[in-house]
Amino acid sequence: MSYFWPDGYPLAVQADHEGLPLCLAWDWCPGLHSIWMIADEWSVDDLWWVERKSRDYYKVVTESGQALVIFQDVLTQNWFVQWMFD
Amino acid sequence: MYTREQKLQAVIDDIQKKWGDKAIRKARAVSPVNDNLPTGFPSLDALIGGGVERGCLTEIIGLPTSGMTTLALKVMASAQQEGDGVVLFDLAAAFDPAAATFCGVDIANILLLRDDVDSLISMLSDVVGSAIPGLVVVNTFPRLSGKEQFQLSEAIKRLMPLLIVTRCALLLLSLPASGRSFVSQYASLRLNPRFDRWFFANGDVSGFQSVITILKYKGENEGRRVAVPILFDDKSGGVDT
Amino acid sequence: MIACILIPDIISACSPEAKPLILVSNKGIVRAASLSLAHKGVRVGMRTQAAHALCPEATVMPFDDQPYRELVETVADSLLIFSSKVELPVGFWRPQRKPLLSIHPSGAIFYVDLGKLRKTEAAQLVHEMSALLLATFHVPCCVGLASNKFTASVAVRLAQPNNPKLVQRGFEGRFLARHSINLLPLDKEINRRLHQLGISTIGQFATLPADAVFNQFGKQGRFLHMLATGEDTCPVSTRIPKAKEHLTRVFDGAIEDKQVLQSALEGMGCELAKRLAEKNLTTQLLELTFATDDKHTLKTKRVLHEPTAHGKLLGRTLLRLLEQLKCEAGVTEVRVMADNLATPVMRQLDLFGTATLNDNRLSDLLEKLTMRFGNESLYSVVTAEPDHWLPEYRYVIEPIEEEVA
Repeated sequence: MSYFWPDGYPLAVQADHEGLPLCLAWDWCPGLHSIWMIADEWSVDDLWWVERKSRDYYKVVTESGQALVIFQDVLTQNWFVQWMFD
Repeated sequence: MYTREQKLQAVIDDIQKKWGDKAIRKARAVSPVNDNLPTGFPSLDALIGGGVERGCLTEIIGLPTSGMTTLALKVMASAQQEGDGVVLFDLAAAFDPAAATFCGVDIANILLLRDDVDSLISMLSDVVGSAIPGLVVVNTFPRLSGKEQFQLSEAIKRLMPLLIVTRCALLLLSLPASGRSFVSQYASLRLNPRFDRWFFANGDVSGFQSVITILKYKGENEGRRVAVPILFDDKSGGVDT
Repeated sequence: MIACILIPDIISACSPEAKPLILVSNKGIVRAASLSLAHKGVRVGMRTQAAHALCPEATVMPFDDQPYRELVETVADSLLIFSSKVELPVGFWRPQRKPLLSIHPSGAIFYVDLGKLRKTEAAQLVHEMSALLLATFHVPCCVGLASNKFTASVAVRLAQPNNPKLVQRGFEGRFLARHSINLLPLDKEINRRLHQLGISTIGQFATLPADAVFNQFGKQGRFLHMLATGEDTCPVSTRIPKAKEHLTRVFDGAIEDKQVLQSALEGMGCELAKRLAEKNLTTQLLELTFATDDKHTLKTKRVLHEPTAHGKLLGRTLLRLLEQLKCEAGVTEVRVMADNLATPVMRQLDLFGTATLNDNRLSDLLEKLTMRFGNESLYSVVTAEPDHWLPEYRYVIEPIEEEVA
């Protein structure tokens, strides 16, 4: 990882019927980036006794050659990028 | 009959006896100062005279996931190993402490500056002019506007004499520009890392190979390419217990 | 005499409300549930909807083991009044790789070494322990008593709340003999081979000659054989309690005025500093808890860059925590807890202390830049909890502040 957004950087994601990301767009790297591979996925559900943070994480590789760790906030359904490997 | 060497040694001994050891000594007896900061990739260092040169501007031009930041972090780590202070202008406000630690950077000992471009440009000359840091890294990612590029190039132009005096290495990270790079004429070394292929381990992407092209260099190695491995410190998915 | 204490329904004690609790994974699978629900048919691994249908009044919450871990630590600390040797076995309910957790559904287990006691004295002590746990944590417990840890852990399976199971010294082997071999900590290979040999009880295994077991199964086999014969020599480890400092302020009426809360917190910061100074301690973790008039509890905590016992710094940190809490209701009670206590390390005072750079020359640069531009754009990086599941809690990137003189 070389770029890190502690609170996540907003991202537009098109997901398939199972909710897995298919392609993404964000203003850091203009254009639509199709996802070539989901290399890893995991979920985090934490801090429910303070401020619940429930996220589905995906480590994705785009066809344009970028590796990112993105997550979907389960509560709001919004997508964010948290890491970009560089 | 004395040889020239013996005669010279006799004179040196005489002077040292009279004025002290430090009055005269052979040049090669003084250990050479390392004028370059290694990039952490020996194959690249071999082509660019040992690393990023002090007192000069080095530009690294790359796209996201090209290895650009890893390269910069490794130079930061080697600067710290040489005892130099490191200052990072983090325009994107996206510094990754985990990646920095993985690359060997002592994160407790870097000064991070985050602000708008105008403020950072005005700080840049103070930082370099203080002669305190040995390495200043400016990460302009994701992209500067035309006006900001002009302002930064003007600031760097004014900085060039200061860099030579203070022996501070200035490292600029930028995205490939469609036209001519805005500081290309001031940079003594320009590197262009590009993503080449992924590395896989246990079904997961563990890193990638980056091919670094030397776009500008004073020696004969300009235009040459070298492949380097960029590995991920993948603690993203939580921590094994 | 060693007591093995089992709290079968530890999950209910973690419940913020006095209702049975179902903890579910984000995939909608039950990961743990209160014991009362198990009697109604709720099982680990079933879907949430099915569990909810069986017991609609239960509270469903996302699974997290943090409250559990905090509770078992507190229970272990409270048992220290009976003995300094209190062991909380590791590997129980511990998170596995990544956030996926495996739950042991049988609750929490503690070992307490009671020293040399007669049967009646031990029974009396066990009774007091059970009463304490019930009164303090509202959890019934079962106790197994034996001369060693393994036998006690088997005995606890036969114990009932208010009816401890005692295995007398010298009768361990006979007691263990009728139990299943699976109670021994067997690895897969030894388990397979023992079953091939037709050995199904601990007694059958114990009757094998020790030399033959050693030849067949090596060191591990010798250890298992000792356990089976009732000769567990593993001692109960000594527990060193984590020092914490608590401060509570209860208000007569609910406080809604932020300024009043601020001044109360500043006062608590000074009082905390005074207490820490008296004990020659510093703290590096502050936790602030509010009880509100709508019966809610709000909690937040902060890791400090450096351990401190400075009143103003503590007060300022509490004010920051107050900002984080975003409390909308009236506050009836404020609790402050100082954790990670340690004796202070003497060091040279410098101008920038809270998030200082160790590199002296960079500190000089920092001073120059602060004088000229202020310190809004200057940041430092501090390692906070590098193993936290949520990445944003692993490191703290914060503006560098001037030290309070």
